[in-house]
Amino acid sequence: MLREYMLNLGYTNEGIECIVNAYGTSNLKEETLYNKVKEIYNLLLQLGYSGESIVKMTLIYPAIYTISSEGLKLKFDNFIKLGHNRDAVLCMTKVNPAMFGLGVDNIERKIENMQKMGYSKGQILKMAESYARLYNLSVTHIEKRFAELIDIGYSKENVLKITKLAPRLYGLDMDNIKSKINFLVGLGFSLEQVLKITVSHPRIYYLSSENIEQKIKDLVSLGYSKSNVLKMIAKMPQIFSLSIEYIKEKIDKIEELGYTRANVLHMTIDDANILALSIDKIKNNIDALKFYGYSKEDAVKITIGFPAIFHLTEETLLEKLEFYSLIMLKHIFVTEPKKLMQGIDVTYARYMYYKEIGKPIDNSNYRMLFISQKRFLQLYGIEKEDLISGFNYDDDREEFIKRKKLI
Amino acid sequence: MDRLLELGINEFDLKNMLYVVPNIVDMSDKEIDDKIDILKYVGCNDRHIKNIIISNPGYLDRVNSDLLKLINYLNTNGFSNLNLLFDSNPYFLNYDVFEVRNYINKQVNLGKNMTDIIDEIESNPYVMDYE
Repeated sequence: MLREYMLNLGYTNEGIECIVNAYGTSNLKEETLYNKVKEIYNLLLQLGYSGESIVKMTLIYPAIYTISSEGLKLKFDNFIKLGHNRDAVLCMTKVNPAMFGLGVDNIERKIENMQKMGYSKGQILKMAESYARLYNLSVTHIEKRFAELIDIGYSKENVLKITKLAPRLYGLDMDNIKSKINFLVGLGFSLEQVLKITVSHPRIYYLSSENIEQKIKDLVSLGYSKSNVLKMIAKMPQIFSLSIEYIKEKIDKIEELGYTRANVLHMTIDDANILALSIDKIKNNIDALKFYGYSKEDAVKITIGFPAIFHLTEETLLEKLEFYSLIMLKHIFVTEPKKLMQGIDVTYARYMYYKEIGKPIDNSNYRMLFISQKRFLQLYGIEKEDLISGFNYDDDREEFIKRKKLI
Repeated sequence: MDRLLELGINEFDLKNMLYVVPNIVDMSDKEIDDKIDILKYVGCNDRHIKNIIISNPGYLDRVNSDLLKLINYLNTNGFSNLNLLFDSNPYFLNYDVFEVRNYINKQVNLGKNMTDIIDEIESNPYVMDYE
């Protein structure tokens, strides 16, 4: 009767054997187990699990069939009372049905303890939703792992960050974590770089060494040298979360904007973060340059020379372009795009200062706007701070623009 | 995320920020306020703050203590006007102390003195990026 019933529910013969002979259920008489399976299966259906999920869950944790319906329902409700929503509880217990074997008091103690370690309750709940086995780990284990990560070289704040983003670090074997660090060091990163890379993208610990090697090979196949790939990883560890198809498509799309493949590779080596920008953002900043009269070819030239231009906000870029247009110097960026990096506060203050001392800036002496602060101090004896407070761009902007436009 | 909208960040920029750093959605107001306070601490005005956060959304994802260590290192080694440095290159905030220290040591080994190295970084805030 039991076997036939369970076969109808979707269990295989091997699955039934597994349930019948498991610790806890093996002590039950067949009729008792039949009644329990019927009762608990129906309760789980009512709670929102699918038949397929129930089969999977009970194969992972057959002891569910030894819990009373009241007890199971109470636990489900208590998980919600902890702060998880119903869907999250369903997901977590599907992955980790052994949660039903944990006392809620026990989970509450773990949460309290982790709060003392520096996590907020909301963060702990989120971590458990992302790594359901977190609640199965003992307080001692969690504390030990926290200390082990600090021993490796992470600060306390960094341990909090990496475990929030990658809570499975609490479940990974410590040797696995250490060997991943050694593997990354073996690729050519310093330990400090590895720690930084993993703080920025802790899910690297979830990747196998083979996966990491494959990612590097894939990037090399796009035209980057291995040493440049390592440089890019150090600058933007999130590159591991971008698929190779995505990166290839991004390179193709940037190329379509008027660049050669070599240009795109060059720009993304200098500034790997470009790969994470949306194509709309890249187009937008090119359009801003075109709006200020640069040809498509000039816009390409400017951005190759100073790829960080893609990160500038539209507001900042337009502000700079407007300013240099007003002082009739916008052409300098085609030949010297890196000059665009100087903040508008300094450029404006120097421009006004030179005007005040009778050395107005024009096409013949514009480089004076960009001399180093040390040189500026030697020549004019004015600290940057004093200069900027004397000619404050934010205070003068509207008036300056109005006056220039009248001219 | 409300804090970001309060800074005057528009939907286009916010969408791009989320594209680069998806976990911004999980950040609490306090986490974002802390980052804004750090920028205010170095003298950034609202325009600088907005520019830095939009240009380098990864800044929001940095650990506060690492940022404070960086600022402290730059201050104690003679850098000034960090607001202008970070506004000119918002990605400078992504450096850890060891990276700035290594760069400086390398330049010292090339025979440069500290004042010149700082002057070079302040005048050309991307010099370390394009090394």
